[in-house]
Amino acid sequence: MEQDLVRRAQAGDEDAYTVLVRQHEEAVFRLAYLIVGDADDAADVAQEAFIRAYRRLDQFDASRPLRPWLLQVAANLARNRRRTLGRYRAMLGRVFAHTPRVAPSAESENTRFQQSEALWQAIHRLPQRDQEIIYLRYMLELSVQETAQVLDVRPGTVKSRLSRALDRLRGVVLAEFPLLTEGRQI
Amino acid sequence: MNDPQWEAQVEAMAREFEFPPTPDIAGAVHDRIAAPRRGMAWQRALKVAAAGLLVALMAVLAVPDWRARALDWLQIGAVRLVDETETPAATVTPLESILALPGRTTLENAQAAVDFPIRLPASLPAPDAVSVQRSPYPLVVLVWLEPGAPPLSVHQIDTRNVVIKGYTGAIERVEVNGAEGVWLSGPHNLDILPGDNTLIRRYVESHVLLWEEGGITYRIEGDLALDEAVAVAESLE
Repeated sequence: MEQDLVRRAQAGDEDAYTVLVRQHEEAVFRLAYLIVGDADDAADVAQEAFIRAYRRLDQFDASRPLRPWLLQVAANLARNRRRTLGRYRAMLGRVFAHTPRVAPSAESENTRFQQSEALWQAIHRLPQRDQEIIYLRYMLELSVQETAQVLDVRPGTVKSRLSRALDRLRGVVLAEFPLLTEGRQI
Repeated sequence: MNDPQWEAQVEAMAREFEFPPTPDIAGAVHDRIAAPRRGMAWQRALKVAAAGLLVALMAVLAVPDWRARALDWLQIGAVRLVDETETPAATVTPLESILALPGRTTLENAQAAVDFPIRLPASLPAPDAVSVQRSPYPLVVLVWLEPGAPPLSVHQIDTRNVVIKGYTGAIERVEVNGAEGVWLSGPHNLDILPGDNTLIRRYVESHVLLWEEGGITYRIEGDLALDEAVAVAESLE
């Protein structure tokens, strides 16, 4: 089904491409959001990713799954966007920090929500490569195989990188986000 | 090394993460990929309605008022929006980067070379690069660099010039300091006519805000959202 839509889109069928965008817009938007940290910017990045993918669609092998390729395009754009925004906004005197939407608190009724927000903060302390592999595998819940396709590495490499990223994440959590460890053995 | 328990904890916390609602990206993308066809429609109309206009373009350049009236609905100050296939026959010099623009100089020398005050965004530091060209009237380009990302640039163009943008995307009408402007999102060609039957062409990857004030056409190019570009625009002093 997807292959058929891709081939039709490659032949210039805009409606077929719109169906494909609809199928993948959530994952692309979410990855962009995790990287740039702002919903409006993420929407811009996602839109641009789909436009760029459309313009390069003739180079895409229709026998392959589309989502990893779209996520690859979106991740590249989001990284550039994040760097640019970081600098422009700093110059504009704004603060661009990935602060949690709600401060973590052990007493709060929304503890699980706040923990996931604090986890995001902790992930942002990691090198970019670690961040992205955690986003893809755990926050977008991609399989190891699909994560490997997005990152253009072998599945074994995903596992080893993930292991190292989790190890570093545990160090950050222990040092800076002790609330995340309450009641947990890490 | 990691243990399965820690991995399970991360997985569980990640699963609880609340993303913002996904906007209607498919609709916006559909509008944008369909836009070039609509853009071609106005170009065809332009061809039919004013077949001689583009052929006589170079002659028209010398008559600013007539030029502005002729293409009023597609023109902001010195900048004319056309389909890139409609640019006049001329020797095209492609530019890889905004930094390859001729006329690199200092801000001080740039100010001495032009007869209008060069305005700087209050919120930004001194530009990383400055150039002055004549097209044939003065045109100043201020550039702020960002490794790995498109530069931010502010162009200040004597409105007697003609700069052509080959653009087929959506044009959004905006207001800057009370003046009418336009917001162009997405890639397009920027052509500068130095007045010697040559054409300098640069591919613009990011977004552009255009407006005119006091005989000067301002153009901000960068990977900014519209509100950010307007904030930079309105901070010019």
